[in-house]
Amino acid sequence: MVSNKVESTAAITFLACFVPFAGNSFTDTELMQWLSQKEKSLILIVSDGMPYSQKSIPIVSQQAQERNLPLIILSDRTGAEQKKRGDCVVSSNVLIENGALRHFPSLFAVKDHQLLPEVIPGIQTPQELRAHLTEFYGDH
Amino acid sequence: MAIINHPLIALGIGILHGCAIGSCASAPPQSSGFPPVPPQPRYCKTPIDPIVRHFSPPVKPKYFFKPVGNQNEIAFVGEAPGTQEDQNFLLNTITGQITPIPGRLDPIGLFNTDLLSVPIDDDNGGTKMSFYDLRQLRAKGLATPPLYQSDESLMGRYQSLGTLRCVKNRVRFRIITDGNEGGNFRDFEVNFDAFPAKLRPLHPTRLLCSNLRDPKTHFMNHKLPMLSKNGQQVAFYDLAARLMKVYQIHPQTGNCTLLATPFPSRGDIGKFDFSPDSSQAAFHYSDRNLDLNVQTFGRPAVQWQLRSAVFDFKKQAYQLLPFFGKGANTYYPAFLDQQHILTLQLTDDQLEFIEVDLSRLPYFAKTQIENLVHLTNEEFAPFQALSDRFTEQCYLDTLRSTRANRILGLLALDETQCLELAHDSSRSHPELFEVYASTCKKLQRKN
Repeated sequence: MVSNKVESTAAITFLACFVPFAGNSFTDTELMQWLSQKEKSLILIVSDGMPYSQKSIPIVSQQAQERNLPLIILSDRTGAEQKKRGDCVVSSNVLIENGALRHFPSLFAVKDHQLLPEVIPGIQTPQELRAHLTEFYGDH
Repeated sequence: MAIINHPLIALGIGILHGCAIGSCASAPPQSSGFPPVPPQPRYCKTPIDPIVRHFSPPVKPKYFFKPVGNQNEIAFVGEAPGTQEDQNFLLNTITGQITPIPGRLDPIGLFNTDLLSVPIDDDNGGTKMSFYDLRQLRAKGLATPPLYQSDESLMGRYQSLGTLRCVKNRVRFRIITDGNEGGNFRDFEVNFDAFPAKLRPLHPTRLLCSNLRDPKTHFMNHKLPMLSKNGQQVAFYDLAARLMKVYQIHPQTGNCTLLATPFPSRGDIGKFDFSPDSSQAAFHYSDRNLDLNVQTFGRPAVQWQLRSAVFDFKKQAYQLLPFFGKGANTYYPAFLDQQHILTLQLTDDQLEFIEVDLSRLPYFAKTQIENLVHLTNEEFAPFQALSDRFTEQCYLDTLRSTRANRILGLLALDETQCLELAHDSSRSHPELFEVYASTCKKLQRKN
């Protein structure tokens, strides 16, 4: 079962679904709001239907924490279970048109308030993810 | 669970051991269980129902599955009854028998053999790629020991297998996995004359596509690897190019050469499943964003759906797989044999498998679909009118509600049929006939 309730830490804002979002849908409006607020961040798309999604959450969370990157986790659809849990569901055309539904999990990176074009599909090992984040953001 | 009469029942499941490449018995055409179409105008080309059968599994599956054994079985991760914990299962799609099997992730078979590979969690938080004899799994289930467990060099993740050589019951095969270094491969031989089968590695694990790696990091910016069933090609999603690409693998070095006719689509498409002869690939895609366009498969700002298609590399043409009902998503279409595809459909919270007979589906040249993409809204209006009439006259209720199914049917008409439809559609407004006739010509334009 995928849970997008990631615990907050003092340094990082881990968000399940932004509270102000209507209907737990992360649309283009919410994306624009997110991008305007966060200079750098990560957006992880997960699915109940793909077991590696759950395994990817601690890997991405750990590295987001190391780099002080806000992370938001979105689910792939609005099923009964997702509604019950209050999952934030990816409904942003921009994210979808950039490959949010190709595979689960998928990871988007934000830099300078812009989505980077290289969405990363599939689970990454910590080493792989570190290499990608270094490529995006440089060493930290 | 649908139980369907099938000649293989008489033969028994589990008769397959090793070399049966290309000899997989295909399911005969069967009714999909929907009511027959009433008498129709001549332009209602039949058969229009390519769905051979559909069935719900007895446990809730995750999205990813693969046909295994003699291809009348599927292996998948599902929710164990009672606990809702992830558990691998083997399902006989003919008899409905379901067997829990080892592992909680990605059980993947070697096409048309009794070999299954499963990543198994080890004590160190990693996974070990493990191989099983399906003959044992069918009888012993969870108690089945692995034939072989690879060491850590073969990362236990995102594996796919292909047959390199097959002599009687001895099969030489290749497995590729994703991993820290962006992909490895290793070749094995399995001998099904023994019971349980004997499996031995032919060489240590090697890097896949060394020539595509970043010289500094040694990582490969290619994801979602999938090996063809002959073990000679590999498909990847290229992060930088944002394209799915197909490469030829050098048999000894594992270096990869981009094929002259890579998959041409820029769209948002998922992991490939190659056909048994590797001439086609099946995949799901987001219908909001593909060269198969928004006009055909949905309007902007309408909820996205995942659809499935097959692309023929030689014909450079698509076959678009059907689905039921509004709001349906389809996942991971997989070849049962050269002619039949199984895909998982999710509608609301209902999951079912759908088998499609590709011989009943028309081909759409890539260029033909592109012609539709470039229609203006004004040009598209008569197309829509024809589609509405066609749907009203020709389609079953169960298919009528979906825009994509209508358009697919319309594309399949030849010009004569389309002109008959144009005539029928313009009965109350004869002045529109020329417009509709002109639309028919546009539909037929393939280049």
